Amino acid sequence: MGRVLSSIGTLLFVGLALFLLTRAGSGSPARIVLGIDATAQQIAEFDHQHGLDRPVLEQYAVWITDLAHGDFGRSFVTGRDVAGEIVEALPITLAIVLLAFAIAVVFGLAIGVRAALHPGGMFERLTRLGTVAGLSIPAFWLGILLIRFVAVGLRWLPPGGYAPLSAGWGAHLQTTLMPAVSLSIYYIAVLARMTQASLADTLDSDYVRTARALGLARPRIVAYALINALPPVINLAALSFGYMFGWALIIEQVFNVPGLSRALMNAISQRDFMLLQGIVFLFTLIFTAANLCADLINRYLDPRQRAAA
Amino acid sequence: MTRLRGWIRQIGASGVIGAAMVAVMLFAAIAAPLIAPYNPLAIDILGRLEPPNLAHWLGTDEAGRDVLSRIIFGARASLMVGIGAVVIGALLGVSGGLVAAYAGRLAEQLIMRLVDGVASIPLLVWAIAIVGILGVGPVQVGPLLLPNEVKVLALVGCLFSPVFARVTYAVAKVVVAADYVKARRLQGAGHWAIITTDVLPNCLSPIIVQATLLVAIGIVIEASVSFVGLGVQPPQASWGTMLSDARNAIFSGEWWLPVFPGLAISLTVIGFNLFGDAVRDLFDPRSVTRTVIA
Amino acid sequence: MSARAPLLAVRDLRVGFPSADGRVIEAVRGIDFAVADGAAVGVVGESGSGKSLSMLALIRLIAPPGRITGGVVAFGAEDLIALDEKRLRRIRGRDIAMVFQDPQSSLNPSLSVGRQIADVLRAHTNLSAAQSQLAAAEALERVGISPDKRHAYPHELSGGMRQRVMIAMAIACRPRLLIADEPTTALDVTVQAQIVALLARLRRELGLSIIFISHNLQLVSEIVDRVIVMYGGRIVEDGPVETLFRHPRHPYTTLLKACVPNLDDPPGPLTAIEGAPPHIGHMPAGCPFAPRCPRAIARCAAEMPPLVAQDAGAQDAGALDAGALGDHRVACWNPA
Repeated sequence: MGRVLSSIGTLLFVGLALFLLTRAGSGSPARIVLGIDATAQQIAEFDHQHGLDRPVLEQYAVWITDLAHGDFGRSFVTGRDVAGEIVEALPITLAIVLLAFAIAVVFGLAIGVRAALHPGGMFERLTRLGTVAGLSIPAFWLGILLIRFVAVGLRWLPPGGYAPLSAGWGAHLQTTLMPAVSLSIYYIAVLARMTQASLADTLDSDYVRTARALGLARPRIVAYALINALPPVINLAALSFGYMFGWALIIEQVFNVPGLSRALMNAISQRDFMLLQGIVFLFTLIFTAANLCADLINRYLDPRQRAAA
Repeated sequence: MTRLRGWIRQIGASGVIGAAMVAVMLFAAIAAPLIAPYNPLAIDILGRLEPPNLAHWLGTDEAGRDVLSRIIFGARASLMVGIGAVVIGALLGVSGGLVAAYAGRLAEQLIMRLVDGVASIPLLVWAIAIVGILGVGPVQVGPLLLPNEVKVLALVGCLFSPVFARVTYAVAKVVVAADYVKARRLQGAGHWAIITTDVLPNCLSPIIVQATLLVAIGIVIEASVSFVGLGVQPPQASWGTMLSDARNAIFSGEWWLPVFPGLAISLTVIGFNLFGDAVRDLFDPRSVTRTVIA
Repeated sequence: MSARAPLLAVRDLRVGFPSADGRVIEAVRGIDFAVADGAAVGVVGESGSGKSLSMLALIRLIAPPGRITGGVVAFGAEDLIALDEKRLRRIRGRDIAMVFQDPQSSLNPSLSVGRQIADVLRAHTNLSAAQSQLAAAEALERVGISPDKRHAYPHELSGGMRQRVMIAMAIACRPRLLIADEPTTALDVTVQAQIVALLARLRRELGLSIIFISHNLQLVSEIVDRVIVMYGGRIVEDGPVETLFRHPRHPYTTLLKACVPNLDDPPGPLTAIEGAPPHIGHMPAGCPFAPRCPRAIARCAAEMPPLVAQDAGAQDAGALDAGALGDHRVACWNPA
């Protein structure tokens, strides 16, 4: 519980930093909306109307409480509801991140388990090479290569764009598969490495020796080791989810997916700081939540931590 | 010479390969003006989009610039941002961690809470957003006019600092509580002396491990930020901007334009990762839990 | 001497480790002994004597890179060394079970103790999940733990209770032989006595044979019929516990006995054995104890003494049955 409160506190603090930064960098929204010829009178009226003449901390408090009610404010540039724009773009980014996460978890764990169960074998050696490559090859370059060879060369998949689920699973997967695969490779490597190291470690433990001494079957022995090997892996997976959201921005740009990255880039180019603030806060919220999850997982799943608790 | 040989044996074949790759890239970055065959900014419209040939080993881009030269100069941007960010992060983080471990409860609470705050900031998103807010022009620092990527360097450096702070704090806390340090205090040794002779040396190994692995991450971040136009500004060469320019080439078939810059990034990062892993295995083989991801 | 075949007969068992230069260094250098049905045998020695390794080798639990480099372990009609993995797995836990030294690390921290006992049962019987839970509760009761503790996790129990749980897991399938590798070493002295008493009781109730490994001669002698003393990877003396205590013939056994202070002894300095046990990589050519032996003669350093029975009419110790019951054997050129 304390950890949750602490996270919320951190979020508020970080939100303040974000708020101050955007306020500091944005110059006068009044000038942007009303034009350069606006008179001082008009600017003062505008500022008063939008609460921009209140003390900064008060403005922040207003913004944060609105945020808590799901009101991300209204864009000064486009006049549109920020929350609305985010809600339009979020599911798209989410679709890619979720697919990438699923791929990373499934393949990462499978590869790691297999490598740990056959130490010294060909698979383990390939895994070691593969994980170094996976950790080092930038996801967006992988995306570009995939487009070049799979979309343009083989013509198996479209080179970009996005088809929502409403257009059918087939079309949806066609547009989300390559972005998700590019995004996932790094995390497959991360999770495979951790799974292998963790499982190899637990397979060496005394309680596995006991299980072997008492004649338990091999699958059961592996299960005994795996239960204890998984907590650090799950922790890492939770962290990975948080990081994936950030890298999804770049991947979206590569594949021309109209998710949050497009909204963010538009916000930047149009100097639309309400929108930018909202999007960045959302990302921060997701990232903090992922970190919190990871921390809680560590606390409650690790039997030693449980013992200490 | 034998010390070197012993060191080589300790970090293993992959560590040596990694170190060699890093050395090559560092050399390319430092000696770029001397070893690049052409001026990376020299335009030659007639010679544009040439595939790799004897005159241009890696071909030319859409403005006729030599790809190899641009890649060599691109190493400068990537390594400067990667290493620079780590240096800033280490300076901020290590000092913060030391103070937190050494200076008493109030400083400890304040600093570690600040660290927690910074650590909960998603790096890439904020880097993009803040450069976006500040704009992509060069930045005036005193008498110097610094290019845009310095903003990225500084930002990423600040966001890297929690890693260093936490590692330093963890080690320093243990050392400070150790009996032999208490004994030295009783003997009258000054704070600074204790920090430099007892605390810091013990922190050094994990700091070096984290630093090497974070440079790798920093390089990819620079490339990504430049890719979306918020890092190195054209016409300067950066592996990220080269890949961004090469996006059209995917459809028109000039394969050398997307392949080589990406290869350069990958090889550099592999080098740092191999070396960093070897150093970590050397100093702390059981660090299953201390993974650096981004 | 009874002609009944022993439950377990070990001949020339050897365990080795590959060294850096490719040779194999033996840590267990040819041991012969037997365990009679229903008997309790103690195996005593310092760390490094090879006592744990030998007993781990019985059910082929030696962790690589170590391996069994020779010998026969006859259990019933089968040689456990030559047996295939599948049949060996069936013997482990069901016919021969093992209890380890550190019950904290030897129990799975993420599963309840009842679950761990039930898993052993389900591995060897056709019991359903529910039935095995009931049987697990019974096993807990048999070792003196309340059955409602079966939902507890190992870290929630005391050291003594954890060891009882391990014993419960080991006896759940009513094995014929229980190997206990220093089961009390990690426990408090008062708890040690309880565990030893528990093992004695189980032996009576279940007709269990026991191999009890320890470095504590005194403790071992409370529960066993025979004692095997090991040093430097070899058996240096074995025999009925009374005989060994009253008339130890090997100098090492004598010194071991003398090391344990007795309340009735006159006050004075404690006895210790000079020197240190040999490193397995640097084993002397002859008797391993020669460098530290107060009775060493020239022959001791040069030649390895064979393990020989002390009774006039007994057979050569090489025969499997001889060491099973009653014989007192010594490997010494100059026994007391």
